[in-house]
Amino acid sequence: MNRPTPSIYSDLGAVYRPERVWAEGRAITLVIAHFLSGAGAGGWLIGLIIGLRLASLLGLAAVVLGGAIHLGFLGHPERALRMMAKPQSSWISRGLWSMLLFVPTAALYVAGAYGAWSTRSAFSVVMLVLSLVGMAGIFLYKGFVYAVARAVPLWHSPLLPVSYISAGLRGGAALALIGLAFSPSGQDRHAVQTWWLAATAAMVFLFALELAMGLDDKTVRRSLSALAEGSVAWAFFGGFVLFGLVVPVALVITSLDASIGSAGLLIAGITSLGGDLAYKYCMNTAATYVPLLGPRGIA
Amino acid sequence: MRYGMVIDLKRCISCYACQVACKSENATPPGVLYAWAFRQEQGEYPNARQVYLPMLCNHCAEPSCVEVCPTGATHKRDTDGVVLIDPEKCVGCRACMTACPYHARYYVDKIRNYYPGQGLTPYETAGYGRHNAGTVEKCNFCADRLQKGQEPACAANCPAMARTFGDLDDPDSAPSLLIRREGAFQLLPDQGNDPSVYYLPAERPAKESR
Amino acid sequence: METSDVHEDVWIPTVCANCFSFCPIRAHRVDGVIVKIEGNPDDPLTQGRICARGLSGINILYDPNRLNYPVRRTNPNKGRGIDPKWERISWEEALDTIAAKLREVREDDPRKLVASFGVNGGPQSYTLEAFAVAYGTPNIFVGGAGNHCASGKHFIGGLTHASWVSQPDFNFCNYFLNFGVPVGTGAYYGVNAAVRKMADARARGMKHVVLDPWMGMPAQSADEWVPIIPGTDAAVALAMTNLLLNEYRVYDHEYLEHETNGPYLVGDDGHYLRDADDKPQMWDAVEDRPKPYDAAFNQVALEVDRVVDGRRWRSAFSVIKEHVKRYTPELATEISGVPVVTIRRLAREFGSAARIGETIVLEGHELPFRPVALSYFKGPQAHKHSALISTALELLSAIVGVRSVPGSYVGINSRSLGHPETGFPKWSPTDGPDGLLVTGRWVVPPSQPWPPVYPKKPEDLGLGQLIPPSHGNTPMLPLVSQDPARYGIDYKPAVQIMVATNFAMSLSDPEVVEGFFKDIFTVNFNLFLDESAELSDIVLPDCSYLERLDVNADWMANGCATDSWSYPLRQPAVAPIAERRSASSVLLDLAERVGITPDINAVMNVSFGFREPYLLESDRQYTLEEVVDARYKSWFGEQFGLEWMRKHGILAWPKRVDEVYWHSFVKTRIPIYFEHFLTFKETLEGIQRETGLFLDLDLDDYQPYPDWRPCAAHTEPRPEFDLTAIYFRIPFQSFTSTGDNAWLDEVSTIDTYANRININTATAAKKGIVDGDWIELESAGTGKTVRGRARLTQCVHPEVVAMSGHGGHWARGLPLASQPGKGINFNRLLKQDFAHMDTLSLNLDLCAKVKVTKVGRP
Repeated sequence: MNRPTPSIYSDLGAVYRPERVWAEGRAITLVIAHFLSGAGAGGWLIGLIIGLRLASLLGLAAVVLGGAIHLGFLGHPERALRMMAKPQSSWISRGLWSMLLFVPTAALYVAGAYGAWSTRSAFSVVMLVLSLVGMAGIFLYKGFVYAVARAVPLWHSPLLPVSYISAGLRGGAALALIGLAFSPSGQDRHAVQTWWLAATAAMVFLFALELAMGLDDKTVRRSLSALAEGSVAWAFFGGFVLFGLVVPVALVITSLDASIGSAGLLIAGITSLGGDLAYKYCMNTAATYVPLLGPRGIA
Repeated sequence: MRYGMVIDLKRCISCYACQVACKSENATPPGVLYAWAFRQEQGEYPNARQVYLPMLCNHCAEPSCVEVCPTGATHKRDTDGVVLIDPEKCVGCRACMTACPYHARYYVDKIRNYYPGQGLTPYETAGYGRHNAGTVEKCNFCADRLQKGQEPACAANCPAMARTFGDLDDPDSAPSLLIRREGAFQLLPDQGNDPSVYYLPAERPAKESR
Repeated sequence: METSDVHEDVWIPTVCANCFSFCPIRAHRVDGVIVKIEGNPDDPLTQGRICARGLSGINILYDPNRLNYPVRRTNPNKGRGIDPKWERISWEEALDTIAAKLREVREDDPRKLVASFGVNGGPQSYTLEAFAVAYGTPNIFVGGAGNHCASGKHFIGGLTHASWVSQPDFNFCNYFLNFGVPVGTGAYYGVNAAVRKMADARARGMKHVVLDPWMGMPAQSADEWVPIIPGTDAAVALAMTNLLLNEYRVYDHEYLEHETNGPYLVGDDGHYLRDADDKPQMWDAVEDRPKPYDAAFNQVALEVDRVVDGRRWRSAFSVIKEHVKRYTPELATEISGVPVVTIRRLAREFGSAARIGETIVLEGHELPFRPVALSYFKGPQAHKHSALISTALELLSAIVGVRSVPGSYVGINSRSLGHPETGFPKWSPTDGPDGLLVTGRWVVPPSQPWPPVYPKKPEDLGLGQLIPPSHGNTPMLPLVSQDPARYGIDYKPAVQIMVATNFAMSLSDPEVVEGFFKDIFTVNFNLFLDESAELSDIVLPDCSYLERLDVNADWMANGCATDSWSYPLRQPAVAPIAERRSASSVLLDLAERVGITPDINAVMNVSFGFREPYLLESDRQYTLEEVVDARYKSWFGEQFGLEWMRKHGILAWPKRVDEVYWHSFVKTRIPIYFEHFLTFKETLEGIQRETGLFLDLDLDDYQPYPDWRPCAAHTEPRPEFDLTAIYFRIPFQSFTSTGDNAWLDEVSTIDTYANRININTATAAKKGIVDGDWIELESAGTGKTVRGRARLTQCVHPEVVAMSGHGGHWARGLPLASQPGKGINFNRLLKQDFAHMDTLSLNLDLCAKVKVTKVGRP
């Protein structure tokens, strides 16, 4: 029986108390899970739109894997279904409903697509529609789970859900890049590349906008300095900026003209996903609670 | 009825008796502090001062933790406004922790003992049954004591009598009178939680002087 | 109700022992396990509210590191860090061995026994003291007394307040000038009642001003913090006295004239000008002549300075008034760093808050009303010139009449007129030789402050007989023991019994103390295998306070100057665990084995205050229960014996006005001028001449009025030793006894000051130190070093580093306390010799000049 981590004690005296429960230790599983489910939803959507079946399949797999990994974060995974209890108030509850709706319907739709029955059948259409509803829930819930935390100003932004949707789409586009690498030629390369670039641009723009809007807040500034020069700077610059933006952007833009090989697409997809994971990690780790002595201080 | 507490910072000397009274009442494991004391220096020498805030769950009227709990484990009791966690329902997702601005909640990943490598003391053996690994815990205003008609342990023990506990819905209760007459404030009112724990400022005029 | 399921759920009233306050508590026992400790709500003083230390007593009971059976050392090499290689032995074998040793030594020379105990041990200490007196040794010591206590204050307080310690009258005080005492803020006597009463007073509007180098417990909740250089409080007090006497002319003429020895006439040699009957005289202003102090006077002259028949006659007050003129505010500022404007303002505030001339009617008595208090204890007076500092601070109180009158600074338990039903216990201050105050009850009887016990060539290892005000003080013990001949003592100590004390941590530099242990066969009653146990030969598993019965765990009657008497009983809340046995019981058993039962019974009859018909018979061995029963019946009357106390737990009744404010009810005078110090000095000079010994004992401080003189820290010439190290008390550790308490250890980890070396942010910046750095302090006095992590703070004087006094353990038997980073062993910085001790009280100088350097690691 070991000692509690020292931060449990030092945080009690901290003016800016770091958010740790969704960032440190085993919470890495939560970061991965949230990242995977967002990217998975994105993969599902983009795969359907551009008709890249492998992307949709990867998306579904990512959501399933994310859900499974998520269980590892819970104190009582065997009670996971209890989280369905409060969809009227809790975004986590809504998220679970969404996933539980998405996974079987998407799976049944995929089964149709692979020939078990016709995708044009009424059943498949219903499955498709339901999976899209579930997917939309997955897109939405994640951002709101964070955005409702008023005590954590870095998260508590109206833009955060939108920015997390764009991140999901970018993740989906990255899955499509990977899918493309393994798909027979003739698929619409440009569509994937466009999706990816657009989602990347949207995500970067929204992220920047969100930060700019938060600059007035001392606690957000504190989080930003953690990203820029603090404990998570390595993940931010190395993981998100270099690995997640510079490398895949270079690869994807290059491949717009001269076609790069499958390996290039694969690398672009993987680095993009890795960058997104780093981004998610940074957003969780840099989070800081509002100081107890608020702007009005104490008398 | 809405149970609440007023903590008089002019009486408080930051002695940590509340923290340990809570610990001994609830047999909380290491690192789990339903009650704790926040301290901060303000100003520069020689005009420095110490600001301290004894902390506990604020049992908010609009608890942000209840809203985010996916299982309904965290709930607000209708009868007295106490915010409780049902350990049988808690799944350990910790959303409530991110929602609480007051650092009231602790995730008990496993139940540690106080003397590492030396087993549980008889006290720990007797008291640890009420803790549940894998769940979130916090102050429940000593719900067991309330049931017996007693005040929470921190209030009953405070050597400086800095804590006044009672029904905030009753305009004539001791805490209501203090809130009304002494200029009490809540922590982080902008968060919109409407805490049931109020503070009286450390520096305020005396009531009477001979 | 019949039930087959035996379920136990009881509350046992008893008494805490985590500091010397001894608050009444109750322990909740469920099926044999203590599950909660609370304050005893039946106590009118603490009202069921206790501090973190008391609440966490469960861990003292159940700490897995507790010693559970007797052990004997098998490794003949003794020293710090050396494994004693303990061997478990039976109680029978342990007691046989110890008794044989004690018999052998006693036949040789009973003075070779050293008996030492700690303040938290309380009643067990009294049993050991009785054992030691019965055995025939003068060597009885209180661990840390004189080192970390307030010996000057106790002694001067006895002379001036008829009490061991005093307290502000929180019921009426409006202005509390506090020289750094945590009274009402988490330490000091009657700790928890004082916290409540202080809070009430502050809510009522009492202003609390704290002079302290460190914004610790007293200053952080005060209305004003006045940072001051350590050891300079007397300079500020003397300047304030000067301003009040000579510039503002605010002083209590009436009081000084009638109730102090201010009007006593003194000659050029400083002694009283006595009459033919050897009585001090005062000047009758009407008859214009001196008369003995107890004659009938038309008008006593307070200020006298005249020459009659070629002889200069001055009143003590005039001498003092003239003497303090040299303490200008400017000089005090230069010494203390407190600005002139602050000193002047404080003097004005203090003087006007005293409301000189006003009265108050309480229970039909019209009494002086002086709603202003001045408090000092260990911090300001634990310096080279402890007694002079104490007299300076008392003088400032005295000139405005602040002495045990309503609103002022009140002696704790100075006068007891007894329980309303029985009239017991009873004591009262009285008028003594020279018309001066005699205390009614004194905690350490052999050194009763008045009438004076004069110095003589010492036979004891603490030099208490040489310097009577220091009785029981330990600073000299390790030095004299290791070189007795140098001090004219013709024996070396051979055996030591320790109860509830940890000399290795509490005396001073552990290396000096280590040498003291080397040649003494030490029997140690202990809860843990602590640092002193590691230097002992046999360690016996004592009962914690929750497992034992005690004779009188109420030595301060719960330590509140006002409101109530409260005498609780310490009784076992659980049966002793494993082979633990109470030291008191074992000592009674040992007395029988050594053959001194008649002696110890005789001593207990006196020291515990037994009276007929409860006196112990000479030749019978009594059980502890019988002794306790005799004690309660003797003190409180037949109906309040052990049986009654067991059931009720506490005997309390209200204090009367003529007890609390005894000063107005006892006709006597209180010294502001300490003439007998001159006699002490002359006696000591005689001893120096006669023996050729103690020549390094500087006698300059033996003077009748106060002065400020520098400590070694103030005159350190080497510029690199630029900071003064001090330590402070915190309300969640108790000396060296709670370091292994896991809950308190956790609080100390959370509190960012408790385990650190606190250094001013600006000072640290100059030295390139950042928060959390490991730094090393090197003592100018000893050259020794300690290391700790820096805590940068705005709350400490820039020339000071401050740390809590609880840390720096190293014993293997205290695994939580002995980890690196758990506080600092402050004692290593202290030099132990006459140059660093007050020669009037043997109080050790606790400010150490240090050099601070940044180091990489622990």
